[in-house]
Amino acid sequence: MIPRPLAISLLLPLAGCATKFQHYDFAQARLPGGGYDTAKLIAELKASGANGLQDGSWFPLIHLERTEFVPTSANLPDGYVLTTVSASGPIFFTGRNDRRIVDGRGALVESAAGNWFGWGLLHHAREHDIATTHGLRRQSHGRTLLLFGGNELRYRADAPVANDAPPAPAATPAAAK
Amino acid sequence: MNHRQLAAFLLLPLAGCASNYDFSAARLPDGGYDMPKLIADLKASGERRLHHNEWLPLLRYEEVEFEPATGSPQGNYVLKTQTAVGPIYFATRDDERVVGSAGAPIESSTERRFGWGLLYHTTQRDVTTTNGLRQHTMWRALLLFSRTDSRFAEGKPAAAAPAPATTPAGGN
Repeated sequence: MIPRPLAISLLLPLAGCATKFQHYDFAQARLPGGGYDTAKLIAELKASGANGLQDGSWFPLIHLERTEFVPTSANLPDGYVLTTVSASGPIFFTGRNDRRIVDGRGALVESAAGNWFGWGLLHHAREHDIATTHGLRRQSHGRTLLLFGGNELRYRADAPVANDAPPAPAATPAAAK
Repeated sequence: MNHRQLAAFLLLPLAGCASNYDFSAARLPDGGYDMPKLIADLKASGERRLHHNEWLPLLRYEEVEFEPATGSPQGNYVLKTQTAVGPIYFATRDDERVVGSAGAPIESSTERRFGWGLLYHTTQRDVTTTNGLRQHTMWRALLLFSRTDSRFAEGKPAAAAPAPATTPAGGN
């Protein structure tokens, strides 16, 4: 076991590397359900005149958190991409990430959410949703201890589809709740 | 007896074939399959699925299967074709195509492996979305070099006709 003074002496210099980068406070666009008000984000991005909205913090070996809202790149439908990443522990030992693509009106195009523990060796899972003409297409994948797990692909015709569905709550925390 | 005759003598008894449908009857001139005909033939057959497979140990395996799709809305169907050649499936190609009750495409995928996937592995998956045709591609070579790309094909209608299936049908 590492003595506490030694741990402090090792970690304190790293604290100097800790960074807080914020161009936008995403807590303002947080919905009570845990998701984000995409319409508000779109309006704020346009009003800002910036290429994107970003918020995040980094403390080496301890925690990384980043939220970003940017216009979609080429090959994707016109719209926006909301990305949230949250990781903890040494070298991203555990964490989760979410990536949500919405169209110009904030309706879901597709989303991918994943989480991992033990660098993904002990457990990792991922869920990928796409709004299709036949309902919400959900592809799930999970694996534990590299051996146990599986894949599942399911179309949910009863699930809300793109144009009238509210975005599912982003499970990663906003920067300042 | 030369080597070729000896190989044929050893392998032929192991060759197998099982079929309850001749897929060449539903083959289109462009190489694809006539989905409405497959749907109609499956219903008329009273079988749970239509299938055809051939197997020549260590040399070739081929399977074509058409059945109701699981995991998607009722009334959809899936056509799967699998071709493998070489010892222990050295090179393989898998195609899967999900269509609606009228034969309209919902999604399709193609996966190729060479050298059991260790030397080269590629997948392509097309999904008909509310924003056009979503094309996802991935390739990986020598386990180290890879590329993944997703794009929404501009100008392609959401209900684009499926690309021709290039894996051979049973009777071709």
